[in-house]
Amino acid sequence: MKSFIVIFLFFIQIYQPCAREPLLTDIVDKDISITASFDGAKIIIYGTVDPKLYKDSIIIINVLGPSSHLKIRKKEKYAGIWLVGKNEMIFTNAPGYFASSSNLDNLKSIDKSILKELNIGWNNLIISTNNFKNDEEVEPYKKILKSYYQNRGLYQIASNIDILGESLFRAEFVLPAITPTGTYNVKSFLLNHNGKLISSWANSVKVSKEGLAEGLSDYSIEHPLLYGLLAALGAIIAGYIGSEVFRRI
Amino acid sequence: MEIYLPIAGLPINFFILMSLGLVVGFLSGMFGVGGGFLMTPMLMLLGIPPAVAVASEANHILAASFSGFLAHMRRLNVDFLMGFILLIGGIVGSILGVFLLKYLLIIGQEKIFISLSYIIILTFVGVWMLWESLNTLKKINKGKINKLHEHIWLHGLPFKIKFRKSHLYISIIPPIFIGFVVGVLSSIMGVGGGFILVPAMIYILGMPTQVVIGTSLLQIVFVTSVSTIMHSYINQTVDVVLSSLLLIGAVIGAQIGTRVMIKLKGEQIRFLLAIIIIIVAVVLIGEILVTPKEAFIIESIKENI
Repeated sequence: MKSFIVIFLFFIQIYQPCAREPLLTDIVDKDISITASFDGAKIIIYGTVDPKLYKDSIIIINVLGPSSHLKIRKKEKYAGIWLVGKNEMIFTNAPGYFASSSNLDNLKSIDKSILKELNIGWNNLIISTNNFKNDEEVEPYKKILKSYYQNRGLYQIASNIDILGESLFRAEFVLPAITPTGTYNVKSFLLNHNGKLISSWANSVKVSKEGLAEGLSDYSIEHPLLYGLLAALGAIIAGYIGSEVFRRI
Repeated sequence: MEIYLPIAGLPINFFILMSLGLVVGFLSGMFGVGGGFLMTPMLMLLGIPPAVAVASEANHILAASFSGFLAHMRRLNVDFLMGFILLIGGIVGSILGVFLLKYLLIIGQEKIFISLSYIIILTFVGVWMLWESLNTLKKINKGKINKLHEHIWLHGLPFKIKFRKSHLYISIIPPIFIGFVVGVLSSIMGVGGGFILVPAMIYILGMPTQVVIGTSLLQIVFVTSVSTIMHSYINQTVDVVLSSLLLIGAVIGAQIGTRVMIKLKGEQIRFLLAIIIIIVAVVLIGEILVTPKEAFIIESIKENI
């Protein structure tokens, strides 16, 4: 970790004089692997801001997990009985994880149209559907998805960007154990105190299964029939062993 | 100790899975039921996606029922001929069930139809079984000897054959029909159907309770083998890490269940099974009446749909 910061600062030292990039960020661990003992992880981001701009500026970091197709159905009460409703919404690119952090307590002071333009915040997140519904129809399902993610640690809003020095900042995002695999896009924004965009920077993190977890899930997709046969055979052998062992007791 | 489940995509405590497997294995060995009714809600409560829960559980129940089946077979408590005839009906029924489910899906409201019919069947079977077993227990206490089994008109239909193990000489039409109904149910409900099969074999076919359990397990072994293979072939939802952890407990539980079962009399087993069936019915009724914590279902689907 320390060596990362040293290298990062060194990199900035070389980089700054020539490019004068107002905002720069980098991620400590760009490859998060899910192994047999995986119990969640953290995305740690370090960044710098041009010192001249640093005062009063606003930093916002968004993390969007890999997108997937999701089918959402509501449960409804008919005649006192809870049923799964007829209507369904299919999101074709719903992010599997959503997090946003900034150095402000909240983003209320920023002009809403700017946030919308930059797609910052859950409300400004554009999720497409495959059945061409209008916003009013989509909105309740987006709310459902948000509360579903909130209950599982897949939705996080924080104001925990730590200012470490004149121009250095740090932020971290917690990925829960059920976090989906794939590419996470990290987008950082630098806004001036009026909320006008000065600069932005993008990084990505890859979360992937490794070892046994990777082998098994790959095998189940590449050889589904053989996987099923082996699973069934394994269960039968286990049943046989159990029975034999007990016969001798 | 947490272990990451590769297909389900989350870590789960090893000991929780062990004990769950043990309980289900015990029920399986003792009553000849699969235990899916108990596992699906439990696994979903642990955060496992429903599709993965159902598929992996089929694989786990296969281990439990095979372990129990072998134990019953050693005690000569399996009627293979009856099992085979039930299976023929079961295969036809489950194929038809798949189409029926498709039709119900088109109409919508498939859930209510299925849940309500299942609840009604279970409640009826549970109460009837409780009443019958209590009566028998009372009669035995008074010293009255029961007939081996009641003869009903169904047994007199054509194509009669001898089922030596079950001490029966009856028509093959009722067993084929029972197998068929259970097959339809298991396709539609996603459950093995042991709860319907066991009482039906006892009361409609008039088989001895001990033989019923072993024969039902034979049936479950076939059904769960096929569904394990089909689930992984079509949906890739069998998590072998999950099912392996569950089956450690299951194979042990099934053996214990079998040993407990042979110490009990037929009517005592029926009495205990009746109570379990009634509990399941009450839980299912609760499920449709109580306001859910999350009033929605979110499923991840394949991109090409």
